Amino acid sequence: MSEDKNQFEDDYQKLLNETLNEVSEIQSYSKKSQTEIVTIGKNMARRTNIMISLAILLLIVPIMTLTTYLYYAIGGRADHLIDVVTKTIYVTEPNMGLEKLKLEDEVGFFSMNITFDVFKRIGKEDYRAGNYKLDFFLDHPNFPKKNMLLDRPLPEIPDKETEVLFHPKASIPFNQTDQWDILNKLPDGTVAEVYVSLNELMKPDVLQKQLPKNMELRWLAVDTGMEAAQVDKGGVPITPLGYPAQYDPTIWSPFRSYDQTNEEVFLDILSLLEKNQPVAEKVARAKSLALKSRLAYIKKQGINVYGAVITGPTEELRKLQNIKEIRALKVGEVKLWNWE
Amino acid sequence: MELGVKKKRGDRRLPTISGFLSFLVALISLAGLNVALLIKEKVFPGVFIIQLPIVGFFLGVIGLFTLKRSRLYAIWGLSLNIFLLIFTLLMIISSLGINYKP
Repeated sequence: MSEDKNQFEDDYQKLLNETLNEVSEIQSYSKKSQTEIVTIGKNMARRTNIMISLAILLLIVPIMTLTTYLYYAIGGRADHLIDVVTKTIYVTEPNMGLEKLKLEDEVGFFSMNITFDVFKRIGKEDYRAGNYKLDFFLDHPNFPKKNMLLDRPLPEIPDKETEVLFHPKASIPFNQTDQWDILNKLPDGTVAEVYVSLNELMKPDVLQKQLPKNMELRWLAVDTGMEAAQVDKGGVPITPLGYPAQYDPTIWSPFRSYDQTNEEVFLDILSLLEKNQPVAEKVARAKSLALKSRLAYIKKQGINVYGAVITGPTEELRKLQNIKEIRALKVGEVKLWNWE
Repeated sequence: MELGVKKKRGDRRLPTISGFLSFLVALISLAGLNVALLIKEKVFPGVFIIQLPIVGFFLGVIGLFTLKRSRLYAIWGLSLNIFLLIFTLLMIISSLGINYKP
């Protein structure tokens, strides 16, 4: 037993000596070499830190941009928002349309803004009526910044006193004679846009038949059950809902449909806006569209119009005074002759 | 007892030159891209999102082939250059999905 132990200690001692000899053979670094190694190590660590920190900082903006682009692109979210905005204009702004192909978009960090021009048909020509700029934070829009170029723009905040189209049961706040005087005193070589309110609800084709031939019915204001009061159930002022009366040949227009009538397109648009009411209410002048109840009313009662926007030569528009179904008229924009 | 270190230069684990260059190219590309994004340049400069990242990608791949040297810079360079190329591709695809006009 004791012999084994001695043998083990000898082996250990031998191994230890061998190792110590090996270590003693290795030359230790000189002071200069040690400083050099430390300096290289420090520089390397410093350079690595700077480069990695820089890389992380420089990745922030591209990642945020890419995330935003993907957010708006996946599922066509941006196109859907643009669709809601443009269709809101068609059905809430009388005789107004836009060139969707010229709509500009700019995607920022978690935001998008769109700008587009709106147009009004006065006589035979489309005139630039103004410009809309709408900012979205993700899919939440802000109120649009509008720059309207019209001589007689509709009030930004709708009110019973300043509206232009009136339900047969709503009172008319302006003097009728004044409006006919304006029309009568306009020179003959002009074209104009007029808002007419009817004595009774009627079907669009019936109204079309009542009108003299040398003028164009542009936009129809549809009875949605709230126009008599001109406010929604909560007392918030509403504006007319309606649709273009004519087939629109421009390729970007929703009312350029071969298999649907304008009435059907109008109902489809209202269904779309109902599902996206917060966006539509930011774009429309009225801050309440109450689309659920108004759409249900239209589906139940059918499309009956109580007002319309008509354009044509001033001389011809004066003939509207003889139509007994017209209860009130308000003159809109007037332009130089372009009817032929 | 003083510990000694074998004097072999190769053991210092310095990064590969091509790996370093790849990382550097990626940083330059990223800086250019940042400037383009921050000044809201409509057309991205292709040199920062296509040409340089492709060069950086191959430098990074070359930088990976080493046994004794560090691959740290090569991995960073390669990753950043791949990110830049994927960024370019995804931006093109997503731009076409936003208000596309024929």
